[in-house]
Amino acid sequence: MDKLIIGNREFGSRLFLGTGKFSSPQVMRETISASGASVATVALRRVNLKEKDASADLAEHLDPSKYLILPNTSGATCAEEALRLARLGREAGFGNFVKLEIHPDPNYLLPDPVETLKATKMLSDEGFVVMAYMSADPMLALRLQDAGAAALMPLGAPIGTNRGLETRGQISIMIDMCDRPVVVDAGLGLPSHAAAAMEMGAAAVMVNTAVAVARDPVSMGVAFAKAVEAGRAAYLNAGASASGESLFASATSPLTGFLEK
Amino acid sequence: MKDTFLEEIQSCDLHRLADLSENASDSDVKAVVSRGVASNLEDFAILISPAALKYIEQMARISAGITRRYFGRTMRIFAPLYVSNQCVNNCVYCGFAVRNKIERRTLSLQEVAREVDAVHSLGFRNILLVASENPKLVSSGYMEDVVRIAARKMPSVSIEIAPSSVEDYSKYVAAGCEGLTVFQETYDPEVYPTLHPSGPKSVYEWRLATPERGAKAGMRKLGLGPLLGVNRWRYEMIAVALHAKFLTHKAWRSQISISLPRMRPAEGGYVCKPGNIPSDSELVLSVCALRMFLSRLAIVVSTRESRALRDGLMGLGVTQMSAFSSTMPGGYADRKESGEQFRIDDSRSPSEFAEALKAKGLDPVWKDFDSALI
Repeated sequence: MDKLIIGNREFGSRLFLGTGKFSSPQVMRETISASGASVATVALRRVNLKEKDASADLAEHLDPSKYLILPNTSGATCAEEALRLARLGREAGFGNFVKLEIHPDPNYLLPDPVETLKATKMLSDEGFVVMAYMSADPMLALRLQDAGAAALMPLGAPIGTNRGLETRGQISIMIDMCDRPVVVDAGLGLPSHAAAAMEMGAAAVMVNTAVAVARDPVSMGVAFAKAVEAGRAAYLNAGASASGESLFASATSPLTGFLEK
Repeated sequence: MKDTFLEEIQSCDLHRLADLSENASDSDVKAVVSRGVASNLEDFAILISPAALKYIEQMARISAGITRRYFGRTMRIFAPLYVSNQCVNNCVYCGFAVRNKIERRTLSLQEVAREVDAVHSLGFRNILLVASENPKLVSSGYMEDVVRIAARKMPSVSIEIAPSSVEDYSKYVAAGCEGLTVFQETYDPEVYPTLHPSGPKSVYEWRLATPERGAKAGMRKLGLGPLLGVNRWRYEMIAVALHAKFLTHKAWRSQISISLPRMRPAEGGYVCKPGNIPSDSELVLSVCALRMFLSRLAIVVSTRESRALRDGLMGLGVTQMSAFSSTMPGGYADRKESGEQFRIDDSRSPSEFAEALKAKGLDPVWKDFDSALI
C-alpha cells in the first residue's frame, strides 16, 4: 500500500487500532500484530505516569519499533487537562505524538470543539504532533489545521456505537478541503464501514470497539486490515462514473456548436 | 502539499505534465471524461490534450452541469478601472511598457472619483482597480486613497496592481478592498526573465508569492492567471490549475478565480510564437477541464475575447465576465482609445451584454458583495 506520512513519520498500514476493551493484554497484542496495524493508541489516564518509564509497561505487550504507540488524552474535559496529560506522557517516554481527545460529556463522549481548538494550538506550539479527535465539521477541521494539527480525526459516529459512517457527507468535504490526513475515528463497526471511509479518500481509519469486543478479535482485526487495503486500492483506482449517466450520448443541441461557425 | 507555492511548483515537473498532455491518447481522455471529474493534475493535463478535442462536447456538458450546481444560472459582471499607465517595467508584450510612446497618465484622486461615478452610472457595482507599476506615482498611500474613494460608491472593490507587501495589502483591505488579482504571466522560471527584462517585475519569486501575501492580509478573493501566448500554453494552464488547487487548500478563506487572457494586439507589436496561444476550441476545452478539476473555482473571461466566443462560453463554466471595458486611465468618463494596455474585442454596452446573458437563461449579477462587511 502507498505510504501514509504524518508529522514526518511514515506508516506502513492505514489501520490504527485502540488498545482498550480487549479481554486481555495478550489478545490485544495478538490482534494488533495479526492486523498489521501501524498505530496503537493508549489512554494516558490508564498508564501509571508516575513510573520513570511508563511506556515500558506497554512495550512489554507492543514492540515500539513496529508500532507507533500513540498516547491519547481521553478523560480530559478541557484544554488545560489535555495539556497536562500530554506533557506527562512526553515526560514518561511516549514521544511527541499525541491523540488529542477532549470530551466533557461522559455519556456520548463527544469532542469539545472549542477546547480542542485551543489545546491544538497550545500543544502544537510546544512541539507536539497533534492528531485531533473531532466532530466531522469541515470548518473546525480547517481551523484545527491552521492551529497546527498534524492529522484530523473526525468521528464516523459516536464512540462505541458501531453505527458506521453517519457523518459521511461532512467527512467527504473535509477530505476535499483539508491539507492534513483525515483519519476516520470512532463509530466504525464493520469492515465495510472502514472500506467505505477509505474509498472516500480517508488517509486511514481508527478502530477499537468493533475489534476488541468481536467474538474473535484477531480475525476481526485481520478483516478490518483487508477492508482498509481494499478501500484504499479502490480510491486510488476509481473507475467508471458512479452517476450511471452516459456521458458519451450525443446531445440534441450541442453546447459547443458555436465553435464551428 | 508544500508550505509555499514556490516550493510546490519547484517540486512538480510541469514540463513532464505538458508532454503528457500533448501526447495523451484517446483512451486516456475517455477514461477521465467517463469519470466526469479530473481527480489530479495528470487527469487535468489529459483533459487539455489534443486528443481531448474530440470529447469537447461531452466535457462541455459535464462542465455546464457542475457550474449550474455550484453557481446557479448566474454570471457576475465587473468592470476594470485603470488608474495609471505610467509603468516602470518593460514587459516585452505589454502596451504600457516604459519603452512605448503612448499617452501616459495617473489619475488624480478627483479624477478617480469621477471615473468611479462614470462606471457606477453604467450600472456596475463591482470594480477592479488596475494600475501599472510605478512606486513613486502609484504609492501605497495613493492606492489606499483610491480604494477608499472607490469603496464609498462601489460595494465590491478589487485591485490589480504591482505585487505588494502584506502590510500594504492589509491597509487596502481596511480601506474596503475585497479582492486581489495578480497574473503570473508565465509560471516558467526560465521564460519569465526573458519577458520581464527590467524593472521590479523581473523578480519571479516575489510575484509568484503575491496571492499568498494577499490571503495573509485578508483578501477575500484571489485572482490568478497566465498570459496565454507568451509560452507553451498547456504548461501555463497546468501551472495555474496547480496554483489554484494549492491556494484552495492554503488560502481556504479566499475565493480563488482564474482568468485565461490570451494575448491581444497591443502597442509594441509583440508577436506570439505559433502554438503558444490556444485556439478558441482549446480555450473552451481548458475552461471545461478547469471546471472538472476544481468544481467551485471562479472562472473569468474578459472583453479581450470576441462576442461570439464570450456568448458561447456563457453557461459552460465561466462565472465572471467584464463588460464595456476601457483599458486606459480615465476611459469611462472620457471614452477614447489611445493609451490602452491592449485592444478589447467585445465592446457591447453593459445593457446589451446583460440582455445577451438573459437570452442564454442567465441572470446578470451586478452586486455580489457589500464592503460594509469588511
